Formats: sequence, structure tokens, C-alpha cells
Amino acid sequence: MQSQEDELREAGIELVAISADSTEDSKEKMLPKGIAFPLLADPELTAIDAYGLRHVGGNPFGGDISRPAVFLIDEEGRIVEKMLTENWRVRPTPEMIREKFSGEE
Amino acid sequence: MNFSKRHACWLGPLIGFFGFVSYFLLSTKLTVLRDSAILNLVIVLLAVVLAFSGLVALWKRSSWKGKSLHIAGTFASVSFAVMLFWYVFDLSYQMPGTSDMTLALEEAPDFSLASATGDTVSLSSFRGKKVALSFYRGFW
Repeated sequence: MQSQEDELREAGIELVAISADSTEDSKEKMLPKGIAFPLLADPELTAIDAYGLRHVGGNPFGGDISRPAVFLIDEEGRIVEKMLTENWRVRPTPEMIREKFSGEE
Repeated sequence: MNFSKRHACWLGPLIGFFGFVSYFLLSTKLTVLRDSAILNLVIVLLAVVLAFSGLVALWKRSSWKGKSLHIAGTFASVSFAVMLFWYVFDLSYQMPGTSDMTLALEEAPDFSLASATGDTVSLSSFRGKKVALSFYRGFW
């Protein structure tokens, strides 16, 4: 994930990640991997709900989590692209994100 | 070939296990393998073919003990293949459809959340910048 962020940063795109994990979980599991972009904790699913992404019972150990999705947001706060998926294994690559943004200009 | 047939009852499950487990180890590193899973699907299928060919080849000659070993080996290899196919083609699609709310969004809703490093980060603080906002399933 971090090398992908470097790629985006070079293209002037800030990566921000959100999950329903607690800050403690993110700290323990992600920070040791050398992650430099903000990892936001949304255990109450407020932001996840604001984007309509709640996956009820999606955590196999119980509880709700977020569907995977990437939103590309421009300088004025408008959503220019919603990268949604029906398969949680498949996620967009930095190249796809860069291409979508450059297509907007 | 004789060697592989005689030992198929444990080689098959071993290769199947390797094919199954390595998917989860590889997929975090190589996104191509995560997306298509083709390499691992081929490995677990080869394991099934190996175990089954061992079972067939030795069926007539083996004692009941040998037969049950090869049946167990084939069964285990098939199990690994079924688990991987199930994960790749069924389980990973199991989530609710995209909500109308998500589809209707035009402006990015603002939020303020705590980050893993302890700061509070709001989306509005990124005004003037391009942002890729990634929601992920998390690590529970």
C-alpha cells in the first residue's frame, strides 16, 4: 500500500484510508508496515454511512464494516469518480487512479 | 512417474495446501495474482489431478490400507481446491449491492476522524488538493 501511495503522491494525489478498525488496531497492524498516509478509524461508521458503504455483518467475527471503495475527490471537494467493486478481492491500482484524475483535466 | 503415483496420496494434499495458503500470502504483495488468482487455481487443480491419478493407478494393486490413504489424499486435495474456488468465485462477492446513497453522491461528505497516529483528520483540510479516499474492509 505504501509504495502505491508514493506513486500517487508524485502525481499530486493525497491518499486517505478509512476503515471501521479502531485506532489501536490500525496502529498495531498498519503503522509497523511503514505507512505514511492517514489511516482513519471510523468504529462508529459515521463516515462509512455518509458514503453509504456499510456492509452489515461484513466482519466474519461479528459487526459491520465498510464495503471497499475508492472515491476520487477534486480540489473543490467534488467526487469525480467512484471506484466501486462487487468483489472485495479486486481493487483499483494507482495507475487507474492517476488516469481517472488526468482524464478530468 | 511411478514415484509421484505412489506418493500422490500425500504430495497431492501438500501441493493443494501450498496452493491454497500461498494465495493469501502472495496476494498482499502481488496485486495481479490477487485479482486473477489464476496461478493458485492452477496449482490446486494440479494437486487434485495428481492425487486422483495416484488413486487410479494404485487402485488395483493396493491393499485396503493403501486405497484408503489415496482416497483420503484425493479428498484432501479436492477440499483445498474447493475452498480456494469458493473464496475466489463466491465468498469475495458476498456483500450487499452498491447503495443508492453511494450512487447519488456528488459532493464528498465531510468527516472528522482520528488517525492511527492520533491526529484528527477532516476531509475539508484537503481542499485544494486531489484526494483518493479509500474505504477498506480493515483487518478486524
